Amino acid sequence: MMRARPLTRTGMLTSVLGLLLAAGCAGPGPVKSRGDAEASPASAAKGETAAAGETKIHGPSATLVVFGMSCPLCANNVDKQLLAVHGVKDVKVDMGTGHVRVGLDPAAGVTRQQLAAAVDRSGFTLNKLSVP
Amino acid sequence: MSVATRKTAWLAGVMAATVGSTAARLHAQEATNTPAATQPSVGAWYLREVVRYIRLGDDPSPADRDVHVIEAVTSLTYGVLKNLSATLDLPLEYKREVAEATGSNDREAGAGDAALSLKWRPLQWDLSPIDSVRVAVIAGIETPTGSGDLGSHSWDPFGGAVLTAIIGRHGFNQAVRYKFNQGGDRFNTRAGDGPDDALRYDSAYLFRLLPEEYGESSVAATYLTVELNGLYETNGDHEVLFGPGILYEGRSFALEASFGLPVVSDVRERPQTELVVSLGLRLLF
Repeated sequence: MMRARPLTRTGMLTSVLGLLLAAGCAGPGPVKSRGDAEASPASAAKGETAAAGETKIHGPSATLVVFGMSCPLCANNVDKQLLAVHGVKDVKVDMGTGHVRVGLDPAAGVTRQQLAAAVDRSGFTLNKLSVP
Repeated sequence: MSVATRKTAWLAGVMAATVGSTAARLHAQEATNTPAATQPSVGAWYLREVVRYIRLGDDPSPADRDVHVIEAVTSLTYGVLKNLSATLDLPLEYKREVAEATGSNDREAGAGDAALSLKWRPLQWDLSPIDSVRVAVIAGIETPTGSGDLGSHSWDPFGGAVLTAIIGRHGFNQAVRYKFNQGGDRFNTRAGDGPDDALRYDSAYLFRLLPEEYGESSVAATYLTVELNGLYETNGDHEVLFGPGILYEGRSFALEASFGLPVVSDVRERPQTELVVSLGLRLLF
């Protein structure tokens, strides 16, 4: 049975590059992380102090809302990076709501920026960070 | 040591490496044979072990071979940056060729061609706690580490891109990869490893069977996976495998199993793939 003439390397690469360009041009805009914003006066009243551009959390916990954790093992990356922050005692993830409750050592002076950076290193998006 | 004893020891080694790596954690939403635009976080290691049985037949060469291959591919990935990872793939293979024409029965075991690659994820949209769309670019090189007929004996660069979209219980992965083959033999038995370039195009759909909704107590998920894995070579050979499978993810490990059956098979330069059975394990540590 006859079959179509094989595509050359140039033809194949042109097709692939076309697909890549299409993929790169499509899609919604990036979601901006809001968790690394400076502490507001209201948040300072909730047990935080701001110094040298960093906001220390003096409470026993913080709650983060993280976007993009779509599977149990994806959530492990967030666990891992947050637990690596000095002063973080435990991490509980609710994948349904994206809520990540972080238990803190109040004396360690963990900052909002440290928690935001840990989520960033995990490859997910921090949407909100609140201190009870 | 006799040849039979050496082969038994080699197979035992492959099995031990597979089973022995069952001890830590993973990262996923990736079907067995289709890449995803996901990667480990900064400083994390990701180990994946996939064992495949591959049966090839309908050989166009004068030898008219039936080929049975068992391969174990160990992949070790390191998270370099939040959106850049490096991967080393180390294949071990056992191959048995039965030539109908001559009645010969050849067996060979050893290392295949190792590959080094980088995956860079320039685009990421995390739309909700679960929903995410990501695009990654892959570039790497296959090294001439394969012994005997198990390798192409050439440095073969490759590159491509992957799109991953996860919406609720549904996950989609689309990947395209192009390999510039610099060597390889005509009538070889490795799909995509001949003297002609190879374009792989893969699609995967994952449906989260359980749980229906994630909750505070969710620690595992089970996915039904369906894949279409296409391979077009510049000599005109074209093959597409349909692959149903299942993926279980716990918080500390994941297990996967899938089949591959040909739905398109227009192959004239090598034996055709008739069946692929894959079993895998993934860990993050």
